[in-house]
Amino acid sequence: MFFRFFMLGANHRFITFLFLVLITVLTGLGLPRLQVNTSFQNLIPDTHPDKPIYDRIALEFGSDNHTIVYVRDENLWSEEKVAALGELHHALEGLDFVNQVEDLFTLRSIRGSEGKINSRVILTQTPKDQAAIDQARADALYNPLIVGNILSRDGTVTALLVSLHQNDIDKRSDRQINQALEQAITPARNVFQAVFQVGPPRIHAELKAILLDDLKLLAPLSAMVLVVAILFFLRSGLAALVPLLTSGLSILWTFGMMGWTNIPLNILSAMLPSLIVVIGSTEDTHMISAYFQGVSQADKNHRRFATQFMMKHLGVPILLTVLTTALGFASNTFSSMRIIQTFAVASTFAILANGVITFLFVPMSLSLIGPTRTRIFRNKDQVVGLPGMFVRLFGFSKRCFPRSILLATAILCAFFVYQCAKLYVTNDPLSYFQKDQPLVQDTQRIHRDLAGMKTFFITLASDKEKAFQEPRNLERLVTIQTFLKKQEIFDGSISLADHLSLVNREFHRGDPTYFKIPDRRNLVAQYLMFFHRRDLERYVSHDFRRATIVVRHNVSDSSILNQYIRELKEVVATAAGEQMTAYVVGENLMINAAAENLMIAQVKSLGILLCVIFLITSIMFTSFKGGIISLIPNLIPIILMFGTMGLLKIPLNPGTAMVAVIAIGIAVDGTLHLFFRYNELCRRTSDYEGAVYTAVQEEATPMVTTSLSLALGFGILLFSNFTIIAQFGALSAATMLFSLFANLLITPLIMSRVRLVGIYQILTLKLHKAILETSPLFQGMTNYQIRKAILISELNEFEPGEVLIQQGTVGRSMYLILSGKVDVVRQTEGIKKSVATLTPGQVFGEIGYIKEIQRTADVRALTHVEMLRFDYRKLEKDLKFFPYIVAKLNFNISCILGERLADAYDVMDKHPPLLDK
Amino acid sequence: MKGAEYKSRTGTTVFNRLLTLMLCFFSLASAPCLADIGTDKAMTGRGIMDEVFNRHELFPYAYEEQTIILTDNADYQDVRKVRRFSRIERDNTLKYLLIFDYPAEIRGVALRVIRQHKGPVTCGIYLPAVGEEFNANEGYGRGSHVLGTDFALEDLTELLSDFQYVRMPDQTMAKIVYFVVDAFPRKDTIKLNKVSYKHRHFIRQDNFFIIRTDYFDYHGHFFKRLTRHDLKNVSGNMWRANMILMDNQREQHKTLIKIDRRIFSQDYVPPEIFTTAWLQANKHIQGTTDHLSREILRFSREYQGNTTDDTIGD
Repeated sequence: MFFRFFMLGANHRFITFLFLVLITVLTGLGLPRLQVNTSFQNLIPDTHPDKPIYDRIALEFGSDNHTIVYVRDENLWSEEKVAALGELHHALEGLDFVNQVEDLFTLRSIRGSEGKINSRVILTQTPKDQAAIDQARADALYNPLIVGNILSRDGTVTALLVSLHQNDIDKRSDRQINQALEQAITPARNVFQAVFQVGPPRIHAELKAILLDDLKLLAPLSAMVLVVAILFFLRSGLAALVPLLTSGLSILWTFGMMGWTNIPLNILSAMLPSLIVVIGSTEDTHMISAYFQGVSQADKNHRRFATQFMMKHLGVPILLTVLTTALGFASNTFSSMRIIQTFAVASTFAILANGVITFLFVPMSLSLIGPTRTRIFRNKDQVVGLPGMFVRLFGFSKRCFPRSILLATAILCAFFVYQCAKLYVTNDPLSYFQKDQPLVQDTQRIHRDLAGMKTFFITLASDKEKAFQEPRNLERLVTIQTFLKKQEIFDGSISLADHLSLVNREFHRGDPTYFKIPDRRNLVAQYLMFFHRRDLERYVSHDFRRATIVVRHNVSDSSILNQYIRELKEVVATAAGEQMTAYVVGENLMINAAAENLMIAQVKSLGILLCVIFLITSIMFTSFKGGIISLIPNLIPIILMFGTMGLLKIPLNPGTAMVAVIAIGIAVDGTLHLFFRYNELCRRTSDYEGAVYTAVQEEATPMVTTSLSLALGFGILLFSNFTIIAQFGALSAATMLFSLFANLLITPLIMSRVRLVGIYQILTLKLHKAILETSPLFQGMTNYQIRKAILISELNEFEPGEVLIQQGTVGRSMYLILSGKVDVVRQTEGIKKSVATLTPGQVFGEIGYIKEIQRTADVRALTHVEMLRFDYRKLEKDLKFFPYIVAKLNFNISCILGERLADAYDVMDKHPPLLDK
Repeated sequence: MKGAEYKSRTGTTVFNRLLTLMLCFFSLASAPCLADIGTDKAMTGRGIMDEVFNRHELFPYAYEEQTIILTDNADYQDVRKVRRFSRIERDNTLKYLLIFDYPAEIRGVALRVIRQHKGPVTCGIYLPAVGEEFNANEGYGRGSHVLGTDFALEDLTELLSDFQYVRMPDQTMAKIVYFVVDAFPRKDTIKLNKVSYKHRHFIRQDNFFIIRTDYFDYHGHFFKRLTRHDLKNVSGNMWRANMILMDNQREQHKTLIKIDRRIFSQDYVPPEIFTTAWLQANKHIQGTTDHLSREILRFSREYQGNTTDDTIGD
């Protein structure tokens, strides 16, 4: 059944072709619907408890998303520059999507002196003269709410904070808004030494542009590397073309599906084409390698034979590896971040689609136009080239220093586990960009000269009306801000308390000791009359029940930020007391808090994936031990990967967080291929060491090819403009190499110490049911046990006339005839005499099996004979792997021997020895 | 003579030259001589404005009780109760005093503005909680707001002579024909840090009453609009707007002024109230919160039921 399914593509080429075309057309129609989404909202879990609070606070006090226009000039305060600054303000304000521009032309200076109080905006459109400008500069530098926020301490850098209408943000693309902003600031570039703008429109527009650049660059580059690698290893143009076609179709299907299901293309899913090319090609490479092996073994009708050989040997392993790889990607759905969830769905679909396409397209095309000659298996199973070199190198090490290798691996793993402790998490969207990107450098300049672009809110809420006109409540804000300063990690904070302290100071002739909260409520209320509602709406609600401290910072390390925020929350809660409710919220805080969920989700995904792989392999190999053993070679690369991250200070972020689960999903493929091949070989030999060697020989080419191709393919991602993609690529590439090391060095060492039986072997075993059920060897055993017992035996075939057992030789094997007839010939004093003809179901050689004595007769095949060989030494080994089955077999053998003994006594009774006579 | 009102006096040079444009604080009256003038195509911008002020002469002494409603961009409202005193002295000095009575915590806050004829503007702010009057006359500029309202200080003190007037094509809105007059600051007044560069007045041709004024910045961008509602023919040709709305679209904030009581009487505006001593003695603080609260409730009811018949839309 399985085999017929695997051969669908080869046996029904036209239907397969039509099916592939149909699905391609259907999914292709979804391509125009594919959207690009670079929103950071995707980084915030929908279930984040602070989300509704943040939305409410952002609605009331304004979003923390502003565009900052940075202007630097040594002569900023000259008439010409101030006029240009005014023009810039005007140009920005004139943009229809701009809600407000907050800068030196809107911010108020309040200065008090003897009997005077001056409240005015810092700059006007028409400064009277240089003296007025100098006064404005002095006013601005005197104002603690402006210095370090809107104006640098040396007065050479100023910022214009631009907020946009939410409706326009929704209606227009980020690219359009970014272009309009760029156009507005372009004239100023000719006037000032430096002018640039940074804000969500630019970040999103650049993200999108880079994302599309990545798409254009990485997928073709991956394809090129793949072609070169396959040409190098498999030396066939068709072998290179087939993976390209399957990958191309898979990409089309996946993007089409994303279009139909409204899954947007985001920073992570942009690497899907590369992933599909790289991962999808591994199965193709395995298959084509097997095809070539088939070609090398075929005498005639090469294509048909090689295709059958390929599907017979690889059908089940590939089905399983497709499932495990898909599982690896699907495990990411446990992440609470939508960006990872949607990536998980798209990538899982991509892997499954690639599996379907591979299963249908590869046999179809190879059976039709596959090569009929190969150069890679010159001496039948003798592997050559780079894979051969790997095999020889690892084979030598394995044979000569098996214990040393295991010990060295254990020490290496211990070291890397220690390095894992240094892992840290970051989820800062700006860290997605390469550090040399102008956007990142511009952001750093804003941070250096003014304050960080990131903001969050600390909000205190009271039930009492006008609560924040009460000095004691305003003091709560001061307490929190004092602690913020003490933390020395945030760039600055502004609150209603600052505004009132400033006015208080100025009503006391600028005496700095009065930069404090007014001590009476009516004084607070009267000072507040110096502000327009617009001046305060970011800091206090209209009814003065809620007040907000706006904090600016530039912390990108999520773990550090989260740690400081935890401390801050405690202080805020204490300052708020029981009378007030306190919130510390911000979009970047939620994104950073999600980083911790990232770690938890990572552990959860990895744990679940390991469990699922363990269960699958346990079932596949009908042994929990098999499940555990097949996991070991895959844990090693994961440990090494996390250790490398710790060692090289690569953070865990939405990109690198996926490496482990994806890598394990891919790396387990090699292990499974090895195990399957080893199991097959074990059926034909009792030399398990030899079976391991042969299995490694046979699997080395596809394994080395795929691992190196994967490493190269993932390595291509290093060319990505996104740091997280580059980190993902580098780590995945390293993990592929680690897994190659583990599979070629560690897996054989472990494998040779186990004997597993695959459930597919049990299920697909063709039995001579009537014969076996009546055979005394399987007496009292269930059908399943019989199948398993057969599979731990060796299947031998003999041609007529061939001698199975020679009298006088020593052998420890017992045979069960499955088909054909054998003749038992005893030679006495040179005279050969046929003593019995054995038919299917009968057993012979049981004496030799029990005791190492000379065979008492020849056994010769009369017809083509199929038989199972039970070797004593092999079963002795297998006793520890399959104790129940082997014990049952031994019991039945003892029964057979007992019967034979009883028969012998009967014969002796009927024909007593001459001496007795 | 309780409640005595001045009759309009036409052709007085003082008032032609010393009229403020900020009509929310200074009353206008007009005689309804409509047909012949309203259709006069030959009138210049200046001529129209002269006619406006000839018809709606300013009383030199005015007292008003006002309710000010400040509405923010989320439509939250704050209510203030104020008393406004204004008088024009014989030497053309304009005196203006605004006293806040409600809410209780700002009761007694006073804004005192004096503009000498062809002289400087001085502005004093008195905070009873501080107990001192502070001179605050300097540098009001773009974005300036008088004590949290959407009016700039210059709006309170502008003179007709500060501007040049250009008549624009007439406009008809809601079947009412309007003169449209653009007012540009004269060159010698630009340096006064004006909030706006150009005003555009919409003047009803039937009564020469300014119904709407649009404010444009130095780049010609519209940013706020003053509209007058609830017009009342006070006496003879005199008209008054009992409700004035300043809609600051740039700041997304509105200031609505409802005149609850208006008296044109010298007795209500004695000269001593414009002195620092009078303020510092806290003689201007009067009334009770309860009384004011009742007033506010009354006003709120009136406001809810009021229509905007006289509002000009775009």
